Amino acid sequence: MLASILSPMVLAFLLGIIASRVKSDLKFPDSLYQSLTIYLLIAIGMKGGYKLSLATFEEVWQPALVAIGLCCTIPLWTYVLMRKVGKFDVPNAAALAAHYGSVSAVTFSAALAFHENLSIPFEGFMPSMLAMMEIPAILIGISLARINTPPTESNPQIPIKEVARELFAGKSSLLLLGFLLIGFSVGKTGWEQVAPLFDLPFKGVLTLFLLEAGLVAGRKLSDLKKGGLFLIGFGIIFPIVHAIIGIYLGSLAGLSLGGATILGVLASSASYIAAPAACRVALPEANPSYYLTSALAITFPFNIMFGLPLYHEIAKLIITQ
Amino acid sequence: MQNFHLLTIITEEVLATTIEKELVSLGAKGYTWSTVSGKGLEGVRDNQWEGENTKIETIVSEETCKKILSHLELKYFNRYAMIAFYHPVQVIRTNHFL
Repeated sequence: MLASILSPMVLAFLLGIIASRVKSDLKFPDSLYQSLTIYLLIAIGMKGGYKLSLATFEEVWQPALVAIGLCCTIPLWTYVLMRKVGKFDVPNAAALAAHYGSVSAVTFSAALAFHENLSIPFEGFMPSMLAMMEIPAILIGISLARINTPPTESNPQIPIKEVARELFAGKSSLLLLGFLLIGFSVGKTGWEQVAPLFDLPFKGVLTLFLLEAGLVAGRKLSDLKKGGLFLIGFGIIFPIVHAIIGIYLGSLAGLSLGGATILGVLASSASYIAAPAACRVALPEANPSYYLTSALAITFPFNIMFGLPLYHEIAKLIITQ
Repeated sequence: MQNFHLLTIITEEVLATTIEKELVSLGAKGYTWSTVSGKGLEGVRDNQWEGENTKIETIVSEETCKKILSHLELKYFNRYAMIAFYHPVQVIRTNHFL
């Protein structure tokens, strides 16, 4: 566990949190944030596409089925739990369901770095699981709200087709899917041409990005009290439960220790790039203080600092049994 | 010189594209937008993760201005962080705005 916390990425994230708590003037220019996001998405997609081209269909189809199953079912039970136990209203429960069913590309990147640091092998095609899991949950979450609240004249609803178009055309899925395809098509020779830019500097760029993520998460910490104890507990316990389910199903689908852990990380992570924007537009009644705070200020830091080593230990227990 | 209204809307970035389309369909000939940050009743929005604020400005006739404002009031005021205000301006080259 110490090895994970003492990585430059996690320490940069912590420094970001401290910087925002002491009200430092450190601020990333917006264009740098955008550039780092674009770099990370291209790097993940390109390498994942290349590795996917090396895999056989037999290796991929079962994990893919599990990944799709997870991202379609997590929002359903999250929604029910939020309504029944958390006593949230329809839009807030639906927004939380969309966020927790969808995935975080940055947590995924940190999981890749974690496994590489500890030299634990994992299936290289895992980025294709990330790409598959991003959008369905957001659409399911928004649809859950639509089914449970009829449109009124003062509450016009954006058609779900339009929401889907915006999500697929959004930069995160466009770059991820686009570069998965590019990486898949160009194979080894193509990958080797761009690897010096997209492989070696990846962890350095991730460190920069996590410093910025720490700054934002630190600012959001002040909103924790608005969410209440239930949301804090939910933001920690739910990811652990999802990770266990993901790891277990991943190992059943034939993934290695590393691959199953990464699928667990995907199941446990909550989206905070694609989902917040989509929910803000499609579910304006949902309060960002709930969904953004729990995804960004609770689940994300927990996963980066404690979740990754914890899920690794859980995976060892499940897979060696 | 002719009298027009300079309408300013400050709102959440996620709405910018939709509102810009609506302005044009309600009769505005064009608009200018910029990214801004600040504090209001809905708190501070000053980073990319939460989305920033967008300021959209358009110069329109009084009639179009009223039409746009009542549309914004109906569709957005209760549900989003948004302020809208206008002041009279005098412009040359009126064909740009009518």
